[in-house]
Amino acid sequence: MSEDLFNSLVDLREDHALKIVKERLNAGIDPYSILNTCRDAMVKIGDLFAKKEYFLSELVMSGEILKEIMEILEPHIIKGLEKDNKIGKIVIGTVKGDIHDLGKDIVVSMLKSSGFDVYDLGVDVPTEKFVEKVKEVGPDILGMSCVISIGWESLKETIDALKEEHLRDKLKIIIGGGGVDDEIAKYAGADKAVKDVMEGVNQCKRWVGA
Amino acid sequence: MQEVGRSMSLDGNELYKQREERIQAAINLKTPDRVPVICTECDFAWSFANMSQREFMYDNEKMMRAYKKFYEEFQTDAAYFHPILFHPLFYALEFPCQIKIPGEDLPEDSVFQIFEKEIMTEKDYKHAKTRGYIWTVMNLLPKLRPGIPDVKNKFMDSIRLRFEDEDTLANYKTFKEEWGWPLWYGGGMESPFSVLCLARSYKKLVHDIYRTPDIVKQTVERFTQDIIKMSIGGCVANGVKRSVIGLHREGCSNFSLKIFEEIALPMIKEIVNAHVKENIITILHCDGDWNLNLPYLLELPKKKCVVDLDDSTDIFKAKEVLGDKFCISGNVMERLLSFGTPQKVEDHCKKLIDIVGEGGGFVLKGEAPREAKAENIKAMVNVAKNYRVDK
Repeated sequence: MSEDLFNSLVDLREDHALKIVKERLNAGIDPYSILNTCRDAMVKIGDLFAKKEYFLSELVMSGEILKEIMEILEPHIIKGLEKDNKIGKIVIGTVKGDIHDLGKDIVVSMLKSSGFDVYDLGVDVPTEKFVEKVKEVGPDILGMSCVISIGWESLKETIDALKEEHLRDKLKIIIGGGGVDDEIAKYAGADKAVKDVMEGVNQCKRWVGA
Repeated sequence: MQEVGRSMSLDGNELYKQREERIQAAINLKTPDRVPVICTECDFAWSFANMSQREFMYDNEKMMRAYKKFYEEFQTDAAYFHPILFHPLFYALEFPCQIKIPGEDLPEDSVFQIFEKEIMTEKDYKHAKTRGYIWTVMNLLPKLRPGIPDVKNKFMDSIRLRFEDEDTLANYKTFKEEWGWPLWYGGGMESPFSVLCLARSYKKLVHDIYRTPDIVKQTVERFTQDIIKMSIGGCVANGVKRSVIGLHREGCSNFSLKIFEEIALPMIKEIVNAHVKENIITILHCDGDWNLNLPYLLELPKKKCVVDLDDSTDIFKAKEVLGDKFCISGNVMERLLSFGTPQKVEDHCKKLIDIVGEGGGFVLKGEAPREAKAENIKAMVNVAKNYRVDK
């Protein structure tokens, strides 16, 4: 593991981290070993977030640096190999009636960097679209974001529709966003309600045994 | 309810005086005759009055009917939102982002929503940091409200209308003199940091803070000057010496404490100090998790702020940290008022009064969404009016 790259990423020194990645690639270092160092750094950043030493802003900035690193590494990575390393499949979207995408988008990027295969349906997603996608890809997890009270019924409707289609038992359902809590999870029939990004990502990882 | 019976014998002016004194006692950390109670109503009042949000937003007669029904029914101590019709251009000043309006982009009975994406670009900082907030919003208008001809002039008209419209002025008079309800706040604005965050979008602002922190700081400082003027202007126009500053993004659920210390806290101090010079109380609407930010607020002047918290922050801890210095308001939240029972609401409100209300300096505040149950709002108000009264 390159400690210099690891530390640059953890310290969010963007320019320095990108410079090291380019230098290491030019020196003929295996791109997968660079990628693994980045993943280790992301785990460390997640730990710092859990300890409240880092916050959402640091998660977002680390995601941005990782995205830039991936753009550099992409041409050197054999297509398809990454796919095999996926730890689980998740369908995600903001429920019908709610157009907030900020929290959902951050969760999506953190899930991707944690190794999930993510199907993002966007915002204001109607029940039938969730059901259709679940049928199509057979995910391990369905994630629904809900920020405002108007989405409470949409959560319930979607989960009821999955039950009717006999799809509910085959997947875990996580809900997140400022508009939800345990009571809403119970009302809607979800398995878990979470309020912060890493709590959600860690719960998903636990469910797929990662 | 006890209060309803009592209020029947008082005219509007007397009721106004009584309610205002109760609020001011709480802000001054005294123990009023009872804990004041307020409730956000603009997402609930229209549904409670059997109309659509669109009617409430655009029809003055219907809006006032909905407010009257709400306040007659629940008898809280101050009107939360102002009796002003919605204007999509003026709203750009409060929330510089795209919006989805019931009856236009959303169903009529939906609620108004903001749509956050990058409106202000990196290049826009160049002028924003020198020319300020109003100039920036005016220049973003074609992107904020696309398709409106002569949008800049119409925007300036919307600002004038806000303060000079005859219906609006009559509404204020009705609230105060006829119905006897003080306004919870006279002026109100989103904070400079929050408006920048909305205009740039959250992710882009995070990148800016890491890449060009000095430019972000300069822009927030410049925006602060404009927002102070607007906030004070609102208070002067309404004669209510309280201003709500919306701190929707500053808490530790969104930004690190380092960013808070370096950018947000200096801005908050500047706003509060400018308000103090004008004898205005700043209501800090601390949205989201502020648990780790609370100690910083001790740097603000005593009794010059109300710290308004939702349930993401531990309000009982806030009392320990800030209770000797500031009035605290909160936190009967949407989910409790919608999914709770009157008993659950009562239990929560009693706990709030017992702990946060101990020794004074507390305003019981509910946030009622469209889905709130009337009996739950009544339960909240009943506790304020009857529990530990005069104790």
